[in-house]
Amino acid sequence: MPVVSTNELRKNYGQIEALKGVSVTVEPGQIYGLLGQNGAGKSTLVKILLGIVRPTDGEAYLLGATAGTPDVRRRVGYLPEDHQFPGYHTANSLLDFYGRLYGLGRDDRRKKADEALAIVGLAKRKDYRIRTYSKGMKQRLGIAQALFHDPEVIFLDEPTDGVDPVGRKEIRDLLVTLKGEGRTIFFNSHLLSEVEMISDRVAIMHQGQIVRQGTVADLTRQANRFTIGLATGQTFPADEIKALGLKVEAEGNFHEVELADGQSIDPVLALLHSKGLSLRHLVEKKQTLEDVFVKMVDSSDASTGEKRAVRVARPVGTARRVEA
Amino acid sequence: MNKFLAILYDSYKEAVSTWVLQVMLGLSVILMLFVASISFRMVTLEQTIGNAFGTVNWLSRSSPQTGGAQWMAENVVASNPAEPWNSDYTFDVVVKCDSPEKLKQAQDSGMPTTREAIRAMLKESLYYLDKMKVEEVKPPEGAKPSELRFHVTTTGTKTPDRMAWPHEPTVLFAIDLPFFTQSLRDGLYTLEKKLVNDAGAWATLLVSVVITAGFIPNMLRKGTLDLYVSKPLSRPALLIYKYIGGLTFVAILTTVTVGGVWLVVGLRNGIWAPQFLAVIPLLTFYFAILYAVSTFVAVFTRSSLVAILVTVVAWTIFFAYGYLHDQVKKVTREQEKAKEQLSKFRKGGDDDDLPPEFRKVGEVAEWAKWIDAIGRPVVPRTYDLDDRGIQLIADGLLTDAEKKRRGLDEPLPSWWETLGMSTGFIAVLLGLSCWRFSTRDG
Repeated sequence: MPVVSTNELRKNYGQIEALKGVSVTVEPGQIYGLLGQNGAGKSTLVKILLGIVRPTDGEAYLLGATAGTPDVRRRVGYLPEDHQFPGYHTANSLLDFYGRLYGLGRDDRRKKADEALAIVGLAKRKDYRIRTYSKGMKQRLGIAQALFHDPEVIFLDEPTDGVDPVGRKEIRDLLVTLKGEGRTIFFNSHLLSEVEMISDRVAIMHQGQIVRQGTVADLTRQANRFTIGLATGQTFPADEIKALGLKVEAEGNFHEVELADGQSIDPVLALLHSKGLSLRHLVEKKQTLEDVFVKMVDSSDASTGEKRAVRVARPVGTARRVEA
Repeated sequence: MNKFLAILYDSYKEAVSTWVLQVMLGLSVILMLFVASISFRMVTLEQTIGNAFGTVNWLSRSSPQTGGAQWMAENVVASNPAEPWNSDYTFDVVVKCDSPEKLKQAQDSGMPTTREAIRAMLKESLYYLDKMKVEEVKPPEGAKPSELRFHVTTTGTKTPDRMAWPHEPTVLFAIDLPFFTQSLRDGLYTLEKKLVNDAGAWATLLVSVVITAGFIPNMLRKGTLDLYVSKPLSRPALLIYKYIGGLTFVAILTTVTVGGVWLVVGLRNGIWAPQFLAVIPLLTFYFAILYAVSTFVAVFTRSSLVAILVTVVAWTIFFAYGYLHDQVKKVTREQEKAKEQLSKFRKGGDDDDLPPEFRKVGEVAEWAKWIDAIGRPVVPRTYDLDDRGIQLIADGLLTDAEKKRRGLDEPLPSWWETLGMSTGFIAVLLGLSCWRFSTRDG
């Protein structure tokens, strides 16, 4: 049974269509990353799942029940974007307060709060007022409050926002650990590299629609393109390879060979071998998640006739290489 | 229940974080100390007469045409000095001038120099003495011809106990206030009503309206609301719990203030009138009406400032309507009494026989009747709650005669009507607020 399941979910804010028939499925134990520009509808989707926003049409199920009911919310953790905790609480008293709302007993609250605050590195500051916390500390507290009551599924909206690189890595590690414990994690992020690093499945959302979803490997694979490098001083037989019906482009010391659909790289390797050339580099070319994301967004804009005035630069994801 | 207590405690922490609760509690303690500094000393009849004559003598001294006459009491004898409220009295009222001409001048000026005028003056200032007789007597031999003397006898008093006998207040442990001499009950009634039920309550309610107006808009802020509504709690429950959280602010303040004053009054004067404690739920309920307005506005506008402004305007409207309603009721009642007396006097007949100017006496303007009629089923009964509070304080302290003298013997609308109408008003506003909160996104 999927943890999250939506079917043709629609949401209109007046004349604005925030969601245009979104259907997603998240299986138990997955880390599911949702990518999208600001205003793409990511937060709206999460808020509908949590009952914060009411859908205009369509169906949404969470943990097998209609999304947004109080009983379901008891089993869910949530870190909203731009959250504001009451400054008069300490981390400890805030978790105690939320724990009471989740119906936890006093001893349970104390134990779980201590554990969660230790995990996010706030144990020493747990009795300080939240108004004295830095943005990063508030973000850590947000994560602590989302997971401290042992939820089955955790929704995180920009979980690493405002957190320094070391803290970000700790959060990524934490999410992987939580996944290892069998929890399902659904998170929105602008940081494509992070999504790429830890997500099992990724969905790209644009203008209220899921334009692509799949595993990271599926999304980033660039079918039939290989980069080939030979030993120093050897000449790449570009013409002979072109004669095989393949496209060849020089890229510095390497050559990029593009195969047609259904073709294999094996004839190229056989040719190089027959000519006594020494293969030093063979990589199936991949694209970064950012490349995929930008391409998707651009093609979606082109199909709808919209044009982005400015492309917002985002951190580049790390390309995965397959060394030969 | 645990969730309710959690929200309640959170509201308490929010109130404490602003320091206003602590400041208000500090002011409550100052009020209690001030009340503790007030003591009441039983006065003799001679002193009471002296206070009453003091005003007349001052007036006479400052008006040359009165001949400079002075009034004084002599030969005051009580049959039971140990219990002045259980005593018969005899005394002489002496009017003295420097010369017979000046005495004549005083008599011509209309100052109380006749038996009837002296009696009227004494009846007013010594209202608690019973069966008063005033006789003009000849001045004793050797007395100046510019002197008038009246012998006064009273039998019994209208004061059933010590607390109904005149007492002179002393404030701040040292300052005597002879002009505020009144019965101990009256003094305590004035203290509890003016200091606590009027000024104290007004200040508490106003501060509470301002402070609690932020509770719900704060909860509805972007980034905060999501954290609340993602918890396993229905939105109506969340809103109602927050609303009750606001009420606890006032409940704490009124409990400390009213309870503290009640304790201090009891310890200082030995009077433990439990009715005064009813002011705690009454004031809290009064605030519940105002806070329902504030909550309603806050849910629709998410603005603390607008919530405060609208609540204060609504409060003013409730007050103004209450005043108008009281006036309409009073004039109508007087009109009915007048008609009744007139019909008895005329032994039947028709009002149309009366001259037009006579018929118009005491009539209520049509617009006032109209506003009173349409407001009656709509406006919450804050004015009735006010009257209830005053009457409860009076019930705990005053005798029936004292209540009648203060006009507190008029019947009030039933509790059912007062609480029912107000609860209905709160329920409608909270119902609309819950509906809006539940159906809005975010």
